[in-house]
Amino acid sequence: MIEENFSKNILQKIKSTAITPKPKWQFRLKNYILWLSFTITILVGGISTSIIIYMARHNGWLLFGRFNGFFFIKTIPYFWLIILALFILLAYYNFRNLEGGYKYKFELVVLASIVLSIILGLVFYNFGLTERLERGFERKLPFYKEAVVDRLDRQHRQLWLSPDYGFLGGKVILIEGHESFTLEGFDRRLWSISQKKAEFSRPGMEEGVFLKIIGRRIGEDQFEAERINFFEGPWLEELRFPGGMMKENFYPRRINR
Amino acid sequence: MTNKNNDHLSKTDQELVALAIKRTDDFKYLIDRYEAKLLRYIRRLSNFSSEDSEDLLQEIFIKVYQNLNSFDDSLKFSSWIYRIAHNQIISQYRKTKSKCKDLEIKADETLVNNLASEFDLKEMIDQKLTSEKLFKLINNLDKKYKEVLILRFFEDKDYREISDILQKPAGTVAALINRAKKQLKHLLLKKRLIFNI
Repeated sequence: MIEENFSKNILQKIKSTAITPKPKWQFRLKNYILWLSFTITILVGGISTSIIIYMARHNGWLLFGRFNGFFFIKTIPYFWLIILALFILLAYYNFRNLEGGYKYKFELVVLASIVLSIILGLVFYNFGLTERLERGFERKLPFYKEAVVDRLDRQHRQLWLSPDYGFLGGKVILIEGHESFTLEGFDRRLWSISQKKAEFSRPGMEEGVFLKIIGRRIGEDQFEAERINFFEGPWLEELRFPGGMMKENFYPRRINR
Repeated sequence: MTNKNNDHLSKTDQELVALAIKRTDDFKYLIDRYEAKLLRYIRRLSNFSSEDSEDLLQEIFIKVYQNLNSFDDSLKFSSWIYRIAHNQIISQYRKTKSKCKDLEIKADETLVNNLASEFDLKEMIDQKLTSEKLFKLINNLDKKYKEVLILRFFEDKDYREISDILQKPAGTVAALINRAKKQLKHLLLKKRLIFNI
């Protein structure tokens, strides 16, 4: 049984403590802030996705069939995958607190956030923002350079130092006619490369260029090239092989000319 | 004079909210309209003493008053006020957790009939199934199941309203109610309080 003067007591308390309804703008502001933080989380998700796409396209995963699965596992960009997962969860949390956000299921919100992040990621990637961001992170965040860039770099150097798996990279130091040339590997070892059966990604073979060669080892320091690709400039390149959709790149940013 | 005094009775909740925002004294009409319902809800959902329940109810109404401007017209006012009440009860329960064993559903005679009709059990209910036994069984269910059963069968809320009160997707509410019913049926059968499903 409620006491008789219940409502009177409440009104008295409201008046005596000068409680007033919070103004509308406070609720609106709260909602705007939630929308803003939701947008920011999706943007960060988009950046993470674009860097994952960038790394996926440039780290030689398409070659891992020829290589071993271990290389693939070692070069997964865990850092960005963890960031993406964290921000997708944050996006869900922000969305959940928006007006009416609770009406949508967790799976739906997470899926929509992932799709939005992928779309944004593709947009960032195609507008060249990813590379600039990545370089910015590398310059400004020492831990990022050590934990992500240098680690991937080591993995990729290792890839192009794997003649037994059919991957060899290095600098052309001597061209001996049309059939062979000498390559200095990234470990300074000299290799005699047979190019009789090789397809070049483009013309421009000359002494001093850096190559990444796919082929097979045929002797102690002899390698038969099947495909020859160029490291183009200090940054990433895209290599196309005749008649193929195959694009093989990797992280060549530590190549010193 | 009487007509003027009873004017508020014909007003909708939304209209009363607008009045209360303009004039504190008019908040009385909303209190009058919801105090009994909310007190019952507190007592059904918690094992707070009468005194504690009334104190909590007072806190709920003050919170409602402070947040009147955040009331969203797309919701039913009753869902909105129940949501505030629900959150306050849970928050109070957490504060006093050391004192209370668990949220405990209080007896209510209408429950057996409501549940029986929902479960299609009218013909099958054993005479032994007293409301007291039923409450005991419901109290053995998980908290999330108890909450939805109370709102569905005690407070007579539909799925959409429960979704707005508990701030869960309607599909999740439906799934919770189904699971709660299954768990309850299982317990009823186990205790031989119903003959058949």
